[in-house]
Formats: sequence, C-alpha cells, structure tokens
Amino acid sequence: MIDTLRPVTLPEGAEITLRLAGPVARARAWATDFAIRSMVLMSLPAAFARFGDAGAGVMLICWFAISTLYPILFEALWNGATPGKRVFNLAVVHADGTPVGWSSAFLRNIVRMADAFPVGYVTGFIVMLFDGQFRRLGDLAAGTVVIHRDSLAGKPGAHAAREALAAPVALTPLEQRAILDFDERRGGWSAERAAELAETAVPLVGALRGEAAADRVSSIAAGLQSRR
Amino acid sequence: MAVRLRPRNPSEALDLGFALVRENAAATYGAWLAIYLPVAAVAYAVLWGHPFIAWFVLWWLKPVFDRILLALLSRTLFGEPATAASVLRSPRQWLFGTGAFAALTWRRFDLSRSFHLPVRQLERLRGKPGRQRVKLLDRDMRAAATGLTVLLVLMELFVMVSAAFAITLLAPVRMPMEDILEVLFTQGLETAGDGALVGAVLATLATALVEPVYVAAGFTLYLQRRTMLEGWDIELRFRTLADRLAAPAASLAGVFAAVMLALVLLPASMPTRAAGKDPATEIKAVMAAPDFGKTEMKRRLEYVGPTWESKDDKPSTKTEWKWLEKIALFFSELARFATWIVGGTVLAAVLYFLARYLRFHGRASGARDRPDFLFGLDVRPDSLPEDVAAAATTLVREGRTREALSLLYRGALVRFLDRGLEFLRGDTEGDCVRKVDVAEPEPTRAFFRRLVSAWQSIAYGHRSVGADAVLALAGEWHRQFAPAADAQEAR
Repeated sequence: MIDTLRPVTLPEGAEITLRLAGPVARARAWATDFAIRSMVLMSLPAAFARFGDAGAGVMLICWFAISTLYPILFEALWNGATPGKRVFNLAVVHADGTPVGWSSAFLRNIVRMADAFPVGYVTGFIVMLFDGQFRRLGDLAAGTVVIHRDSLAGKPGAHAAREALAAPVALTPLEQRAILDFDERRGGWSAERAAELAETAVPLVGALRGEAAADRVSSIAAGLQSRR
Repeated sequence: MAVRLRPRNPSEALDLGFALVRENAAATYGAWLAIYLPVAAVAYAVLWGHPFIAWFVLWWLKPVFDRILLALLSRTLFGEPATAASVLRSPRQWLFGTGAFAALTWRRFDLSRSFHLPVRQLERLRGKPGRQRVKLLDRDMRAAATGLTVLLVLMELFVMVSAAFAITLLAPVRMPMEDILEVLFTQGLETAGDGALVGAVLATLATALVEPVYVAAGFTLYLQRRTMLEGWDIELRFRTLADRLAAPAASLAGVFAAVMLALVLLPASMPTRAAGKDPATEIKAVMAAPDFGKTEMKRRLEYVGPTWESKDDKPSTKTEWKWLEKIALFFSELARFATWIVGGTVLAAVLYFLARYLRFHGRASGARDRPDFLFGLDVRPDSLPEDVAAAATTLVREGRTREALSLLYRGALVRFLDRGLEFLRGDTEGDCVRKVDVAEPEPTRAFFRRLVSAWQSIAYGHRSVGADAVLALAGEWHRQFAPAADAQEAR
C-alpha cells in the first residue's frame, strides 16, 4: 500500500505516524517565507538610504544576516516552523518525531545552499523526487523530515445528538474509526450516498435500508463516542 | 488498489502522486520514456534546423502525452503491469473519446490540466455533465491543482536551465554567461544555432522527467477528492467488516478492485445525480434552512470629523559620515574574510556529511566489509586457536568455563562470517541468531541458539553453566564446524 506516512515507535512502545510533506506543500511554504523576507529586505534600503555608502554596507550585512538566520531562528525557536510553514501547517521534526534543535536547524539550512544549486532548488527537488520521505539534502544531513501538522478529524457529531447504541459485533480500531468518520462526513454526502454506504456494513445494519441504515451507523458512532 | 485510501488534505493527496511514481519509478519511467523519447526524436528530425518549433510542437502536444501517462498510471494503480506496448495497443484508452481535441485547443491553458484529466479520460464525461463534474471537483481542490501546475512548470524551466548551466560549466570551450545571454536575447532563439538545439533538447528532457509526476499528482488529487466526496475509504472498511464477519467469502481484493474500477470509470454514484427527488424543490428546502438566507446587522465606526494636512515637510539636512565610513570599510574588509572562511567551512561541512552519509549507507549494503569486533568480542580469524573445540575442552578442564564458552561463541561467529553471513557492527546477539536462522540448516541453528543462550546466561546473567554442558557444546562445535575448517585448510 503506497502512502506518505512514516510510522515511529516511541520509547514507551506506543506508535505514532508522521504525515510527511512533499514538494508542493513545501514549495508553497517557501514562497510565503520568500515573500515575507523580501518585504523586510526591500524595506531596508529606504531605512539606510540616508547614511550613504556606509549605510549601504551595513544594509548588505543586515540582508545577509536576515536571509541566513531567518529559517534557522524560526525553526529552532518556533516549534520547527517558519511563518510560511506555519501558514500551511507544516513543521520540521527529527526523523524520530522529536522537535528540532539548534544543531539540526542550523545544519539543514546551511546545506540549503547545496539544495538550491544551481537554480531554483533543482538539486533539492530531484533528491526529493527519489527519496522515500521527501527529504532534500539538508534534511538528509540533519536527519530531519517535514510533516503536515493539521488535524484531519472532521467536526465531531453532526449527528452526535442521536441515541447511542452499542455495536452489535466486536470491532477493530480501524472499523471504529471508519464508523466515526462516517458520522463526521455524512453531512457532505447526499442522503442516497450515505444510505448506500451504510448498507454495505451488513453486520451493523442488518436488514435496514435507506436512511434507517445510515441512522443506525450514526447511532453506533454516538455509542462509540460516549464510551470514550 | 496500490494506494491507501484515507482522509488527506489536498497537499497530502498531491504527495501521494509523487510517492506513486517513486514506488513504481522503473516501470513508469521505463514505459514513458520508451514512448516519449522516440516521438521527440522524430519531431526533432522532421523539423531539423528549427529546434524551437520542434520543442513547441512537443510542448503543445502535452495533453496527449498526459493521456498516455494516465493510462499507464491507472493500470499501475490497479496492479496491472504497465508496459508501453500494452498501452499503445489500445488507443481507445488514451486518445479516442477522451476529449483530446478540446484539450489541444481551447482547454490547452487549463491550469488544473492533470486534475481534470481523469474526468475526461476515465469517466468520459463531455459537455455539460463534464463541466458540472469539473466544477464539483474544483470546489476544494482548485488551489492545490493550480499550485501543482505552477510549481512543476517552474521546475521544468529550472531543470532545463540547470542542465544548460552544468553543460556550460563542463564544456571544454569557454562560454561566458554573457555570451549565452546575448545569443538568447539579442539574436533570438531561431538564429541561435546549436545553442538553440541544445536548449530545446534539454527542455524536452526536463519535460520527460517532470510530466509523469505531474499527471500522477493530478490523478491522486482527483482520487482523493472522490474518496472524500463518495466515502470510498469508508466503503472499503465497511466491506472489509462485512467480509470479515461473513461466512468464507470470495477473494476480497478481487471484488474490491472491480468495485473501484467501476467507481472510477462510471459517474453513476455522483452525488449531484442522486435520483428520486426533484432537485428544484430540494434546493428550496435546503435554502429555507436557518443556515442560509439570514440577515446580519453589523456596525462599524466611520470618521466624520475635519481633515488636516501635515505641516512637517522640512527638507532633511544631509550630514557627512566620514568617520562611520572608515569603520564600515574596516568591517566590510573583515566581513570579506569572514565570508571566505564561512564559505570554506560550509563546503567542508557539506563534503564531510556527504562522505559520512555515503560511508554509512555503503557499509549497510556492502557485503565484503567484515567487522573485526562484535559486541566487544574479537572476531578476526587469526585471533582463534588452531583447534577451537580442543582449546575449549582444555579450558573447561582447567575450570575456566566462561573463557571456554566465550571461545566457542567467538569461534562460531568467525565460522559464520567465513561462510559469508553478513553480521554488521551494530548487530546484537539476537540479530545474529536471526541471521543464522535464515541462512543455516536446522542442526546448526539449534546448536547456535543453545550456544548463545548459554553464553548470555553466563556473560550477562552471571549464572554458572555446568562443565558438562560446555563440554557437550564443544563436542558439538567440533561436529558442526571442523569439516569446514579442514576444507578451508585444504584450499
């Protein structure tokens, strides 16, 4: 089964899943950061203009410092996210899911120069195409990955007010998740489609048909939720 | 279905396309290049002397190539082998009835081309139903689809420029960048001669690299949209549930693949087409709900007082900053040195980490690099006595059971290494047992497992092991490995 997940086993023995972020999401975050940085950088000449050539020198130093330190500082101090990454709900973490610190943030952003070589991050893009976890060279060097951090859970309980029923059969965690998902997403489907879906879960709905079947599945979802 | 169905955000859906191509990289690119490169070669040969026109023709024909790629990728998705010949043999799948004419004319500049492609090619929707379908799909995914197109157009350009840049750097003749720019911008592409040919061919190769990813990401975005719209992932789980609890059922995978094919190819379960009710009355009923059509009052303040002009527009006096300039000069000199030093350090760091990475990964796969020590035990062949079993027996007689066991264990590891087993530097005892289990016949396996557990209980458990047991192990060691040792000496 092809997917873009990275399972990580925590020292406690629990397993979490990192949702790796690929080129498009990361490019969008980068473009946002680039826009923010450019605005700052372009405001500098006006501020330094009155100081003549010396001002120009100081300004160039500021330019260098801002463009180099921007990603490092944000990633090390702001939960692994630059403003652009935050806008698109991305974050840099270590491959084992732990937050990045100074050394990783520094390393992955210094190696950025190699990724950007020669134009427009072509090296990084090609490495990302063929790496199993969408890592660019900087990520490979620092042992980091970029992940999606938004939540995929829908609004719980559009139908949660329904009477709660216990499931008639023992359910695996994945099946319970599917039943809850059904309830959460039911509002987005036509009544016919919801009924059709519910009817496929024969052990849950038995001989019920149509809206009654869909309601039965929603009731079981409510039952699962109340048990939590 | 080769991809997992689950809720995803649009970006993740695009990522899935990248993963789909990557996981089937050899087959996909193999088939794709086998089709695309000959066509490109023909185009350049026919239009010899006009490389820019040849490139333009290939570029304009992209929608047709996209259709070939989608035919390839949809087969890959359902686990069928995707070969160039099998796809080319059925042009009904990628040319006729797929809206190719529209795609080559008025839809050529559709910014969500690869996202809309499955609607035309797999569902075969035309005209008004097609437009409605596209509108429905666009509702949540338009931004992602457009983002994909923009990024990959740029990447194609960048890949081409990078390749040109690399050639310029590596070419034996001196080709200053200014000359190239001058050729490009003052003489125009048509008269640039060989440079134009090289540039056009590079652009075509960049397309060859990027196009499969573009089509795949659009395709998975489409699949994701329909998964969410129609609850495919939930349907799959419910069917699995029904299947699990039903009496011995037919092969689930086969049934499901058929169902999914039907879902992809037929628009029958389109929510907008749900039959049975009059849409007009239904819409009125929905619009009557309190969520719609309510009136909101909002208040805000607006400035209505007098306006005035700023009087503060004296020209600022210009000051001389000679002394500051001197300091700045000093600092700029300093910064220049610092830049060289930092640059050198960065380069060294990159080389170091690259070397470390390569060495680490090279080692993990390299078979011939045999470790000298395993968990602190010396496993170099010359560290062993001539006859291990006999030496161990002597040690037991002297009452040094622990040394005897250590020797036997070490000896066994060395023999396994001799036989070509790949123990790595970081392997634990458990790893070694597993590797022996895989590679060796049953008597050897059982013997090694007993040997390891005896060693572990004496070395880590600090429990004594009886001299008899160790003698028995030594005897068995001899039976297991002595013939091998003799054979080695004979060689």
